[in-house]
This record gives sequence, C-alpha cells and structure tokens, in this order.
Amino acid sequence: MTRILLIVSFLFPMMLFAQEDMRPSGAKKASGMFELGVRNTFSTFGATENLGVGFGGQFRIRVSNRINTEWFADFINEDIDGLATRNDYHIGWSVMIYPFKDKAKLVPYVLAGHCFDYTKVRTIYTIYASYPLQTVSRLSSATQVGIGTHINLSEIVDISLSSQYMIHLGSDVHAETHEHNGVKEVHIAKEGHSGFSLEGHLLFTLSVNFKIAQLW
Amino acid sequence: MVKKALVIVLVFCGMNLFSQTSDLVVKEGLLRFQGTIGMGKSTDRNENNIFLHGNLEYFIHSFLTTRGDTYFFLKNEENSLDVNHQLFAGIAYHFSKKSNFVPYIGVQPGLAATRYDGTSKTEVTPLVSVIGGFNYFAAKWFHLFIDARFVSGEHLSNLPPYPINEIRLSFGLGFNIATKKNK
Repeated sequence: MTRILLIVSFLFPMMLFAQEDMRPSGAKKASGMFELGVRNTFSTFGATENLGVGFGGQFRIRVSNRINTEWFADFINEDIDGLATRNDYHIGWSVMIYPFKDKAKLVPYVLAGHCFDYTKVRTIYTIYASYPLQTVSRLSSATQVGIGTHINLSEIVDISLSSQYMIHLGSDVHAETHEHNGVKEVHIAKEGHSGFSLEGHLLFTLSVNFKIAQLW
Repeated sequence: MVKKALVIVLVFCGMNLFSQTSDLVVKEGLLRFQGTIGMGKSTDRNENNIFLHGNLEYFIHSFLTTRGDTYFFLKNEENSLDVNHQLFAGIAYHFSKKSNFVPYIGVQPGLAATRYDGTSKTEVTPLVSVIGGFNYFAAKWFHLFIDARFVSGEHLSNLPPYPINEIRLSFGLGFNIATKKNK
C-alpha cells in the first residue's frame, strides 16, 4: 500500500511541470507530445455483474497527428454481493487512432492494446461463511478494444472518456453467488489450470490529462 | 451541520457584490495552497468524520487549475474506521474572469488508505470525487475559501464492505503566490 501511495504522490509534481516555459504550445506539431494524467476506471459486466471502481494513472506519447499511445496502470476494487472482494491490478498500453480531425473541442478516437493483470478474489467473514476464508489469485494477459473522446478544456488540458472491452487470456478466477436455503453463498474457483480460458469485462474510464512536454 | 454550512455559504456569497475590482489576483501562474480542518458527513450512516485538509493548486490558465488534495483522518468515537487517509489529484474549472470572487467546480480521482477499527490490515480504496466551492482573493497573498466535495468509495477487506461515501466541507484562509510576472 505504501508503494501505491508513493506512486500516486509522484503524480503531484505534474503541477510544477505545468509551467509555461516547459509546456508545449498548440502551435507546435502534435507528434512527440508527452502527457501525464490520473483516472478513475469502472469495471462492469464481468462474471459477477458487480461494479468495480478503480484509481490509476497514465502517460501518453503521441506518435503522429493521427496516432497516440497510452500507457496505464489501474487498481480496481469490486464488492461481490457482500460475500467476497475482488482486486484487479492492470498495467498495459493502448494505441489511440483519431479518425476525424485531431484539433477540436471534442476529439473522438478508437483504441486497442494489451494489458497484463493480477487478480485476487477473497471471501469475507460473514456468519454463513465457510472457514478458513478462501483466497484465489491469478496472473493473466489481456487485450482490449474501445472508443473514446478527448474533451479539450484548453491547449494543454483535456478530460477523456472511454469505453473498452477487455478480454483476459489465462486461468479464470470465477466467482459465483447463489441462494441456498435462503442464504446467499459464494463459490470461488480457479478455472483453466491445464489450458486457457477467456474472461471479459467492460471498462469505462474518466481521465484528466496534462500536456507536459514536446519530446521531439 | 448542513444548516450551519448553508449560513456560511450565504454570508460568503454576499462578497460577490463588492468583489469587483480591476486588480485581479487570479492569473495564469498563480499558485495557491492552504491547510485547514475538513468536516465530513457520511451519506450512508449517521457518522461524522474529521480531517486535516491540505491542498496545492496551480493555475494553468486563469480559468483552469491542476490541483492535489490530502486529507489526514482524525478518528473520533463514532467512526468505524480508524484509518481513512485520502489523497486526490485532478482539475478544477474556475468561472469568474472579472472578479476576485471565483467559484469553481472540479473532478479529482483519489485513493484512500482505510482500516477497520480493531483490525490490523490497511487496505487501499479507490475513490471518485467531485468538488465545488469558491475562493475570494482578498489580497495579493491570501484568500478566503469554502470547498465542498462529494467522495464515493467502498472499503473492502475480509469483513463486510463498508461504503465511505461522504459530503465534505472545508473553509478557511489560504495563501497564494504569483509565480509569473505580469505581462
């Protein structure tokens, strides 16, 4: 936890880097732009159909007028019907392609990329829980595709909204809840030990980004 | 607490009438910071929270800022959590361009370190927050402010989930420094 707080605290110096002398001007070319930002990510429509809420950060390096890259890390928490909790740690990258004009108030884009993740699901103490408490985790890789838009508040600040579907390749941590004699129960299992399985979820991301520097 | 807050807000709203001035403090490059006490009211329980609240805000433009906030939780008897420290980073949009009375709104994703009272494991909790309020830049070096925030998050551990949704209010005296010379 201390490490995560440390990483977050590193995002704060972006205020100091926002000085005009270092800041890219809108008149310059788009390629080579370096951006830094923070984000909230919401994970929906996973296997448990609960809402996960996450915090993370990203940086972007723009390759050309039409192509940008985003490198991100997220930590997502999800409550599974009050019976278990799920933690997802995502680290990955996306390529963003601007099919329309790239200098406007609203700049839509499509994105696709890869992600590596660590997932941990654990049961919690309830009067009906089986003991000892169960914890299941897995490492997996994923690929994602989606759409989004930048809302440019100024030449150097934008808010971005995106929606992407992420599909994980690897052993699946499957959590299932059901009622048994009027009591809700959760079953957690790691599936796909001997092979591969697919598990997907829809992610919505709201991010705030600052253009920090022109790299080239 | 809500009534008191409304009275304070109404009193400060009156400043808008006499705060017109040609000597505008808010300009690109202004850095403002403050340290104060924050009061929070849980939206899920009859529970109040107390924080030491600090923030640092930089005016990228006269209307747009990047801003970081920290809340150091001070536990009281009615709290179920004994650790609930929070950290936020984001932006705020400031409305006034012709006055030193400057209302704003903003959005700040955040993280909390949370722990149930009586347990030993501290968890990391992602937070979503929106902010609103105003600054009254009364002088070149200081300002008065009222800052309201809605925070949404859920402490998850090996005990039942614990929502930490909250409406929060801070006010007081802040300081500001112009980091750029007037053009």
